Amino acid sequence: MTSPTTAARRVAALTLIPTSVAVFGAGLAWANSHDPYAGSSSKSGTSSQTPDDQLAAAQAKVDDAQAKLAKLQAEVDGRNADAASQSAAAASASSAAQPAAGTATTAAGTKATTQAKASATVAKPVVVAAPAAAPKVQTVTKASTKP
Amino acid sequence: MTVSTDLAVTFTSMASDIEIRVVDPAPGAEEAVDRAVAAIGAIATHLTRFDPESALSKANRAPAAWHDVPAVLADAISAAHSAHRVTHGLFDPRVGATLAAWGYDKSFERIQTEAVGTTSWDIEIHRTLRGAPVARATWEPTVTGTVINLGGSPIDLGGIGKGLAVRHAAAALADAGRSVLVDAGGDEWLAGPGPDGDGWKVGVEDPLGRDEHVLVLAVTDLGVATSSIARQRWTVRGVPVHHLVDPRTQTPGGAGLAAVTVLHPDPAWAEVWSKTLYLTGAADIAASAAALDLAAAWVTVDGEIGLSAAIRPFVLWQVTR
Repeated sequence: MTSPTTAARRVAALTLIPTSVAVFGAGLAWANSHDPYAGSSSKSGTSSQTPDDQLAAAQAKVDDAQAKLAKLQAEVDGRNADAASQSAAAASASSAAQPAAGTATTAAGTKATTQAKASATVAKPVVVAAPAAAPKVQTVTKASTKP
Repeated sequence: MTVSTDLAVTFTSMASDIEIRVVDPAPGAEEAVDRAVAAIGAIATHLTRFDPESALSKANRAPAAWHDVPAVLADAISAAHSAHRVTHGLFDPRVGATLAAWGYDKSFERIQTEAVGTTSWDIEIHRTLRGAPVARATWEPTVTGTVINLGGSPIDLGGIGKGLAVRHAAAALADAGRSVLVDAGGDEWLAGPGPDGDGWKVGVEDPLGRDEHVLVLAVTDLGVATSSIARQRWTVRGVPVHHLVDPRTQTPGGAGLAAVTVLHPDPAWAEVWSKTLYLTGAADIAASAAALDLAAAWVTVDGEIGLSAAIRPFVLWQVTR
């Protein structure tokens, strides 16, 4: 049978356990705050990255930029395709109109064809104007019959 | 409703068809036209070298002596002297001696029907210093007019005479109406907005003889002159010559060019510059016109058309070839 004195000693011992744990924990905390290896584990930053980590990060950025470029190129290609189809339609319309006029000179026709080709290359709409007739004049400057 | 009756006069002077037209004439327009006709007549009378009794002909016969001449002749010599200086000698009234040696001592209509003189090239070709003063012409006013001394060299004012005639006529017509045209055989003055209100439409004759104009210009308050070899060409002992003589060589100038047209606020200067630019030839005319900031157009003997930057705003239409 346990004596009252023994029981009191057991209660006192059990009471001291949390205190000991607390003191031990405080000691650990103090040690952590003064141990560079132990303390650095809680911090984030590049300084802690290895060269392999930095290379991997840079490669990720390059991959991201390439993906963006590919997306933009696809968009530009799509727009050019639309413009080219419109240009072809306009050129077709103008070439159909020229024979109907029936008065275009060879030089003017050549010029118009060249313009159409150039326009298709740069994917711009083509506007072919017929040679304008000379405006009516009210006087003429000309060679003298006498100096 | 506004009824407009233009005032128009045509006559022949300086071997050219002259036209004066006033659009929407103002009160006094007829008197102004009369003064313009008289001004042109005075130029024709006193500046011609084809009439032996003209004031210029008399002065040329004794170019080292003093002559009492009408003020209009003294003014013309003064203007020619200024042109000579400004163009650094490319405009030179003394080339008349060379023209005379080539048979151009009579009106061009007679040259075409008569045998050309026997003067040889060698005798008549002589070089002058570029930039040399034109005979140190001097003049002083007198009671009866002006005395001049040509300094020993006979002169030909054909290179500026019609421009001066148009200048004097334009001054006389300054307030004659809403718009005014003076045309002296291709040398012109075009004032006001023209009959249609958007500038006078001026066709530039094709010097190579095709019917279609090479350009149509829209002009307001400017003189227009064209120098061309389209008409005044002939041969001397089988050698083709024309009337635009290069004073540097005393030979026909303007290699490669058929015609030059110039716009200028002063019709006399329009004529001077058209002749001077012509003499620079096809190779140099673009650079010369640009350097002088002249509104000029030219046609080469191959039919190519050139335009200076300053004339482009006036070009309403250009022929397509």
